[in-house]
Amino acid sequence: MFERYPDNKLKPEPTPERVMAMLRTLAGGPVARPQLAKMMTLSAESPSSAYNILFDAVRELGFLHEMDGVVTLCLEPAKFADYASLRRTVSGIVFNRPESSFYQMSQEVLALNEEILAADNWEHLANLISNEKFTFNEENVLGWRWWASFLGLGYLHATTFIPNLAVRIRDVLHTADSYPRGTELPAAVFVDKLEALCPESRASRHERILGLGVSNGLRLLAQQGVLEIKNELDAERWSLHYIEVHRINSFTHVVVRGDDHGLA
Amino acid sequence: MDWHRALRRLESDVIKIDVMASDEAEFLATHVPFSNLAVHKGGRTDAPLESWGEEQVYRGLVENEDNQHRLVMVLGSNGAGKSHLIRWLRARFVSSGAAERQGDRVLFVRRLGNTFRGAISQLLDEGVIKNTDLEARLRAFVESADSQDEGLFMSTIHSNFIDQVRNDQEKDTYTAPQRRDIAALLSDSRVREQLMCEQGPITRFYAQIARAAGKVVTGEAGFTPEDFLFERSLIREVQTNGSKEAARYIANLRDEEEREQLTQYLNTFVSAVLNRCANIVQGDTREVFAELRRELKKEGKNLTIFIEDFTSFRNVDSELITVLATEHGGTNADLCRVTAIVGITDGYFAQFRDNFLDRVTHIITVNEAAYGEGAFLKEFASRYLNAIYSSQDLFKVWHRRGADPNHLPVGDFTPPIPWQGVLVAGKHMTLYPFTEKSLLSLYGLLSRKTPREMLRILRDQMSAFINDQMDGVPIRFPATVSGVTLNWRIPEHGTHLDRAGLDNKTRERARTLFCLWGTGDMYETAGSGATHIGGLPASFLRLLDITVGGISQSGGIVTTKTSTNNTSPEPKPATQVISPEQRAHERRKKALEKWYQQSQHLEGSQDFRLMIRHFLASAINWQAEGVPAYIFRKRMDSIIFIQGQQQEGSPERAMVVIERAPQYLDILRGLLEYDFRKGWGKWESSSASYYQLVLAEWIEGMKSMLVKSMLTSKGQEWPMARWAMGVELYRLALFGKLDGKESHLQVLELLLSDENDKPSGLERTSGRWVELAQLLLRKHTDLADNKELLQDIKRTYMGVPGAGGGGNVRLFHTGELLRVFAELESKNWSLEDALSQTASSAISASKTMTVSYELAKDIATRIDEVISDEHAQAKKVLADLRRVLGDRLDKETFDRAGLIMADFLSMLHANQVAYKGVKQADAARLSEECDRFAQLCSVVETMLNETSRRKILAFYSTDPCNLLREVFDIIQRVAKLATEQHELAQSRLAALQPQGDALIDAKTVQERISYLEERIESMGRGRQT
Repeated sequence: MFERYPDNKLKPEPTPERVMAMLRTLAGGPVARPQLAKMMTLSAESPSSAYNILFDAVRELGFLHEMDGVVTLCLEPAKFADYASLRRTVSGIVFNRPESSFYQMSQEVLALNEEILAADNWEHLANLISNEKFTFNEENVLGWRWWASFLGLGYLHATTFIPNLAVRIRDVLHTADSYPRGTELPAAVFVDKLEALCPESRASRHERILGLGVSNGLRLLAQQGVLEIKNELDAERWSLHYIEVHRINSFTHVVVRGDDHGLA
Repeated sequence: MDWHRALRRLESDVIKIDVMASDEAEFLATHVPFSNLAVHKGGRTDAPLESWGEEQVYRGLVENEDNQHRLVMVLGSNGAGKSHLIRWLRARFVSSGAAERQGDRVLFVRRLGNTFRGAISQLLDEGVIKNTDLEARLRAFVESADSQDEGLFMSTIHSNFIDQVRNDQEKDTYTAPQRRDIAALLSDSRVREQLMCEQGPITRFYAQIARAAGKVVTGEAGFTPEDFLFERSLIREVQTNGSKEAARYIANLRDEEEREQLTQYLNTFVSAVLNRCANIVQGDTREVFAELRRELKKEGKNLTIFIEDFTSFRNVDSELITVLATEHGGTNADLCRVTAIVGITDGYFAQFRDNFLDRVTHIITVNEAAYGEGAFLKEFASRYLNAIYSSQDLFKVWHRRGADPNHLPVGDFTPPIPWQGVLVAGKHMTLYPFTEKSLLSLYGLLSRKTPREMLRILRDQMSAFINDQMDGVPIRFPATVSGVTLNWRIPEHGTHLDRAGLDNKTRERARTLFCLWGTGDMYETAGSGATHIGGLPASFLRLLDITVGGISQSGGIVTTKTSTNNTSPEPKPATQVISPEQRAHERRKKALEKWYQQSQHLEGSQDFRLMIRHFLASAINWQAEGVPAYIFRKRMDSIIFIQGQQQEGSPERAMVVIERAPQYLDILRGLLEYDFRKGWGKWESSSASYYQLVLAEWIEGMKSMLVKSMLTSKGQEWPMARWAMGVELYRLALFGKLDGKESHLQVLELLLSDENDKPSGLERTSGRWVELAQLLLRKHTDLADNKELLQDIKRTYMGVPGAGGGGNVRLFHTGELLRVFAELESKNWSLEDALSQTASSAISASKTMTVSYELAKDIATRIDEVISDEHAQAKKVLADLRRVLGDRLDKETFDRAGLIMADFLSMLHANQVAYKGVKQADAARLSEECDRFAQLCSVVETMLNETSRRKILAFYSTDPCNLLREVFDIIQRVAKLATEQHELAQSRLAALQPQGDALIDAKTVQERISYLEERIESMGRGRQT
């Protein structure tokens, strides 16, 4: 799931919910691996493959340690106190592993921009992002989609993916110190910082035109008041992915707002 | 511009919905030539069709220098323009001098009030009725119609029908007694009142024949079966209080066939009744025109008659048509030639055309082909606008000078901004404030597409426009076109307008303008120095006080007035072949816009609710928001409410409320398009991205509220897992599935297992335990639901809830389950405690939400009673045993008691004393299982001090006290047997006193029994001390 492509494959079984379930079970204290399986499945039968894949995914994320058959949690409780905390924790890991299968697929999907609109099922999306460098199949996409939507890259709509990085960007604004609240940042500076924090989005930008997912994410955050998108005269103008009827299609500056607007 | 004059012109002079009422100068000034009139030669509409212009009709059929007999029927629906055409033909015939040249007497019977009275009145005024007696009678009729009270006239009509029925001799339809009954029924005051009510047939006859001029009558008179479909109460009333004849007949009218027959029967009298009311007798009409034709013949003249609406002569139609159809010459050499141009509706013509087929020389049909073209509509509107904007004198002078179409005057009105116009007779006439598009749009919206209806709509719009010019605020133009749903070419442009901050009325006006006048979008373009929005000059919008920015095709919302795009997009051509899916989609789109714009119910709202449900199911990662897939599946259906939905529901109970507001309109539009296109790919990219953004904004705006709502009930904590687990634990305990020694994890496994074995431990026949267990057995369905809830509510689910798939993998939130378990354990599984944490006001009506809650309530109030009952039974059996065995219920006690009893029974057996009710093996069992009985007594003793409900119930679930009761029972039975034998021995001893050996034997037995009794008693005494 979260390790190096191509050896490590994306699979649908280890959903964010299941990862959270295992973390909370492990929070009760170290436990023998067979006992952990019994606890998670509440059954004396041999654990299913889904359990084993889940176990591997949690280990890939570095959340557990196994020694002498005893499994120990390696994550502070605050890091998974709720799903939002888990989301930020996982984002901090997976988006800093550019070589991982998950990162690569995220980057490729976001770089599709409007091309993604044509993908009306998961197999189609897998075909769109597969090239000489990367090959993904439908099952990989099925696994990716749970985490992509959980980590804030967009929304699922039946068998399509709606790219929108609002949640992802809000998370990095939430945690990053590099965005002084209330300060007007020139577009280039804002984007530079954003791409440092959300490197998976970089490939979706074409020069000074931001990708579909980032653009609609920024529009959404502007609508929520989390940030303000400004157009000033005589300044370098950047473009958002064009939407005919939207009032924001370009910007010169961005102001990140503070506590009252959904940011801690 | 003198707007007061314009208003006067509009209201009083120019636009008359009944075109025949307008002045001839205005009429000619506003007349647009018909170009595509369908002409058939002969009386058959299936004859070869030719397309003629009106001038061709005039020259070919009205001008008649060859003295050809002509009976020309002009057909068309109401408002199609028959009258207009006939009036124009007549005006052309007179004003061109042709009538005079040909020596024709021109008779024009206009549609004044559309009544026979009106027609007769005109004939009298024209002086064509030569017979003095007939003239006197007809004058009397016209005057009486003028002077008579409406009610009196209607009574006359009513009485005439009754007379016709009474005097009828025809026997085929009804027998004489039946006719008497019918006459009696018609005479009944209640029925009479019904027939003469506002919508009744007598009122219709009155309207047809005599209603005063000025009141236009439409439709044709005649009885209908519905006229005799009486209310049940009326029938009862007639049957109770009416004459016996009426009462007898009215029952028949419940039968549809009878109503139909009566209708047909009475309609045979219509002409006769109306003629009698009009004082005319058979032959009068024929005579009027025959006499006229004879007289004209004598004068060397001919007759050209224009009848605008033949319906006026309905009661004399056959006579009139006969006399007009009679060709001059031959045996009718005394008659002059006649050219008759007769207007008649399609429906009326169809009724009796068989009578005319061989008499009619031409049929002209005025239909949409004659006026539905854009060019016609433009000229039509521009001529009326020119007349409104100009003074009446201008046209009067023109009319006096011969009304030459080529010299039609054009007023001096100049629109405040350059505007579209049309060339009429080589002169530019403005369309201001209409556009060509608006004329086509407004015409397209008409339910009946006729010039008359178009005129009505032009009048309404112009009335608003002119009034605005005079008093300005608030501006009303364009007027709302009621009952019409406006469609944007680009729907999201509608949202742009909705969000422009205009007040409701201005927004409605703007929407009407952009959708009907403009191009159906809000693209802002600049060309020839003028900015346009949606195809309309921005300056025009400003004049109408509509201040709104447009949308640039290259740069989004325009906030400044500079734009580089100078072409307005043309509407895409309509798809030629429409699939059923496309048709269904268009229907739903229309329903959606109608819902929004006209505040109507949302047709097909269940489909929209499903779209919302499907979207929410996948767009929110419910499981990763802490909402179990199970909860979403169970709750989502009932929590979506669309304002104006067709299904029952209330916004108060819903979590997702779709209001009739712009942002929700866009959400539904987006989901509808997605549903139709099965994805985002087949949209225009910008639109798809826009709706994706709209949906994402919606989701993020309500997600946290929705998640919270899912997990609570009416805003309060709703710990279903706790209740469900408590209920299931008690079910397991009461059904004997727990032994009280399991670890927490083992209990958890049992709680979430699929175990559904038969209950055990229910052999007991009475007690609270059985009562509660039986209650639960009766609620097995609810318990199954509770089990499902418990199994699923903390089970992870890989998939979109409710979308299928996802499998049934057992991977649980065990950490959370153990936490719930620990909470219940710490509260000693007190359901009352679990229930007390939720206010009753939070109780939901949803079965899913309440099943565990209700079961928990059932159990909570009973479980401690069960435990008390079990404890009481345990205490009693221990007390019983102590009473017979002493205080110490240990192994030795049971062993010794067993031995003694066995000894006693052996002795009886050895002495061949018969007994029953107890076996030696029972007594021996006390010794053999003394250890078990002693331990059981000890555990029961301990359990009486146990506080854990879980453990107490697990212990009692095997009914352990039953075993002790059996032990006590054995002792009781042996003791009873000993007593019986003792008494028997004593009585036999007494009887055997004189007999030596026997006495000794009996004494021996008695002593032995006494000894044993003492032993048993001493055992008891020994324990007590």
